[in-house]
Amino acid sequence: MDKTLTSPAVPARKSVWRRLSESNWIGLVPFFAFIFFFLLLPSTNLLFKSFQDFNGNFTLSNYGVMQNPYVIKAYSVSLQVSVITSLVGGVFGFFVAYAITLGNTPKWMRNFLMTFSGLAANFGGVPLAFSYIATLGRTGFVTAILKSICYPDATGAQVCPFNPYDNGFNLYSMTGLVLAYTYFQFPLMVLTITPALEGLRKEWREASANLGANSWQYWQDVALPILTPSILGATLLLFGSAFGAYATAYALTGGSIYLITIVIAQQIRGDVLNNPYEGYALAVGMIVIMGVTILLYNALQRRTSRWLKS
Amino acid sequence: MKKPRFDLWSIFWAILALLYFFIPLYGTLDFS
Repeated sequence: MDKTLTSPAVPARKSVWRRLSESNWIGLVPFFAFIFFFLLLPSTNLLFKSFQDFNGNFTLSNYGVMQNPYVIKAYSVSLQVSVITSLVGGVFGFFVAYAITLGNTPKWMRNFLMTFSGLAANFGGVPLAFSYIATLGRTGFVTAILKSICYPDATGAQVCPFNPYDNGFNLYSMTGLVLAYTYFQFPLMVLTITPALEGLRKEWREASANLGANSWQYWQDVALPILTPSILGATLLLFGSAFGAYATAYALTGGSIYLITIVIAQQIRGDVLNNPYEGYALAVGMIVIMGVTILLYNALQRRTSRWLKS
Repeated sequence: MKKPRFDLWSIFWAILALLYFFIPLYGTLDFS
């Protein structure tokens, strides 16, 4: 006789599942509403308007702005700034996170730095730009301190060689922008990588030491392979954060550094020959770049987390 | 239990982070 695997309890289990799923969906409604109103609706609106002209007719001419050499330069500069700040902030943030998790720093220092990381990660825009101008600007207090370090030279004249602006530094340049962006980039890295670092078990370090591995070998063969997906994810977050930044860059440089966000603002806000629909097309270009970056990240993450699944 | 050794490398990064946080804030305070 052929026995089938039907269970007499299946109908009751099905009705319980149905009851549970309805209440679960109700709980998800605020999340889906947020995603719809603040992500899907603006993105869709942006996409549709990028294909419209001033009369509301369909056109592809807005995307012709992508051939403009200034627009290509703006994308290129934005990518450069984002890559540099995500790497600088990522490395700095990784070492700070290591210091407060595995580095045996006092607990008060860890709590203090984690709290301030939460604050600094959200401290951007005009206040951040102003802080840096007040600190490292031509009349900033650090600049004033460095300018005041003087000593007599061989002829007896006072020499003050530490003025950063006499040595090629300029806050209102790419260097200054990288410094300012790092202020919110590295705390973001600290916040995202700390849980991953805390997941590194002491037993793995001890086991690798017992097998004769030195510190470098432990990091190369054990710790970094485990951490790579988290580091990649955090760096991508930093990249996205820098790529979309506008207020800090505009307040600090006044638009002298040609970032794509500043170009979009000029088109949308109005800058003599503005065309907001071209601005929407430029914004879609930014979304495409972020989409490509996320695809690359997914591919890298699948590759690097392969051994974690085995 | 042996107290863990305080790592100089970690102190360096922690102090650098603290300076990076507070110097711009002090600059703002100094200006105002």
